Amino acid sequence: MSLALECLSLGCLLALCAVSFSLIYSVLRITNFALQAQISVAAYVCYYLHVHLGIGAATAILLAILLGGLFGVAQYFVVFRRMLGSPSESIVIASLGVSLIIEAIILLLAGSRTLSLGMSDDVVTLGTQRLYVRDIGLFSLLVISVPLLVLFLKKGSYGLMARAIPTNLRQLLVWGRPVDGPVALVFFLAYALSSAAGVFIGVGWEVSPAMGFKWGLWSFGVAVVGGLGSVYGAVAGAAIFSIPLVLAYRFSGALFADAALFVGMTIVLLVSPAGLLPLRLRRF
Amino acid sequence: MTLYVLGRIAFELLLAYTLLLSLNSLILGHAGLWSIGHLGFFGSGMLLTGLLLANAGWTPLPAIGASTLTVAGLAFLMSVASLRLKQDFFLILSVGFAYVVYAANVTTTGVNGLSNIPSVARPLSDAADLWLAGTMLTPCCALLLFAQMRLRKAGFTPLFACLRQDDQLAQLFGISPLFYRALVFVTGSVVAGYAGAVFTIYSRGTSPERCNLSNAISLSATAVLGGAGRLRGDVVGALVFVMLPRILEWVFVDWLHASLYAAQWAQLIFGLVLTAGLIRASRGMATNLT
Repeated sequence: MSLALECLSLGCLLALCAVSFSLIYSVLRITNFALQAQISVAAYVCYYLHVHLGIGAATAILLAILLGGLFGVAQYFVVFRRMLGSPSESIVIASLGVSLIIEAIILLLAGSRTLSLGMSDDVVTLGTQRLYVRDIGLFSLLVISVPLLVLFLKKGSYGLMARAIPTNLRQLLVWGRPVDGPVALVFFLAYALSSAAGVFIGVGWEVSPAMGFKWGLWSFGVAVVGGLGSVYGAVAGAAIFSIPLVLAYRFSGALFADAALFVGMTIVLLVSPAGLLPLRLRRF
Repeated sequence: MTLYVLGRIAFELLLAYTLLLSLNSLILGHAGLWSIGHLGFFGSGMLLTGLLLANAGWTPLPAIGASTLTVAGLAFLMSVASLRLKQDFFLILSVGFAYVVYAANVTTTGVNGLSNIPSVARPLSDAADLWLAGTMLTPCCALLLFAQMRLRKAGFTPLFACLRQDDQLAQLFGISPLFYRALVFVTGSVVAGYAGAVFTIYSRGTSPERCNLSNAISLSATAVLGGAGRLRGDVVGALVFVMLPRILEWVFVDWLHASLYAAQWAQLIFGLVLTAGLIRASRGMATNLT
């Protein structure tokens, strides 16, 4: 049972990060590697707010998520907006550049040592099982946010326009439709989700400059296997890969676990080159 | 600065240029494959040659030949299995391959790699090893460059443009996308594997950190920064990949005496160059040189 709970916790974190990758992909058709740095940024912001400024845990978490979202909007206007219409490999590499810049700034400001958020990791007892409050919060956030995101992409005017951008950018610009608003909103949502994952990782494990790279790479893989651009696919990918990942970490070292994860992803992609979900479900 | 140090820099530039030629102009430029883990093939060549020389007692030429052939087989298997994948789907597979090769390097030879490979050059000196490795790598680089220029002149550019953009269009012109993509991918990977084998001769050892994920990503990033599919782009990429870290090391360690934060500043400046360069010239810096 504890193994199942561990898988659930890891799966929820992977799903949050993978959904953020998928959201950006659904709008710009690029993988934004700056999201992996955002995981670290949010954890460090939360640490600063809680430990240095003495703000309460819940408020610090919410503020870190909100600031994370705004940071994403700023990144869109400073970097990605200028690159709309550029070759996708250039945008992907530019996002890697942003990620390098952010990680270097974290290292210069906070050093390479690992930190603890210092928040009590409360436990509630349910029958014979002990559940972490952070896991309950994480699961609730995922259960609430995923359907709302799908609804936003399916029915919301900004969501519909955001989905039209990858294929109809020029037409939208010719007709004078506002492109910045929908894209900025999607960036806000994606970065907020990524920040939420970063904060929860910080609460459960530790805060370090390298945490973003590791979690970002895992969740990017999960998003790809789920079928990039699909919110449901990202969640499905996370649910499937969290089990072997937890097992591999328990019974072998980190190096083997990561290698096993990539081998697993390769096998899935070779069998189903466009991701796990059938086309009908991959639309959202 | 001694002649030997200049020679080492020249060899590193040649190595980076060969890798970028095989990745940027060939795989990314012609086949449109995002082979971000291209350095994995370099790592495979390096590891196999190192093991054959240090543990199995092979002589250099058979060891280089065997490891290059093995890399060719590996690339062929990977291409047959995976070339249906494109863009991000191929990217994650390529990253996975690079990670597995890095893990194999660390597991079999340790974090520091092998260091007990005997010198093969005569007379026994570092300069002779450097000269030998340079002599082995130069013809390969020249051949690749010549082949690429011939391909352009022979009018293959539209073929590769079809291959990059649309499989159905390529088939309409009677081109088999899978065959040409596999051909380009295997050729590029063999070159990277051979470069890895020559690196083992040059350094008389292996270095897993040379093929870690961070370096693999940096190499691909400089390829795109230089200009995907452009021969001038490879020159720019090689200069950025080799010279920028050295210049930054000189500035921070020797000039500013700030060695504590040198790596972080180097990363920051590399990131800034990458982002600003691509915002300024989204098709690569080489396009602004034309």
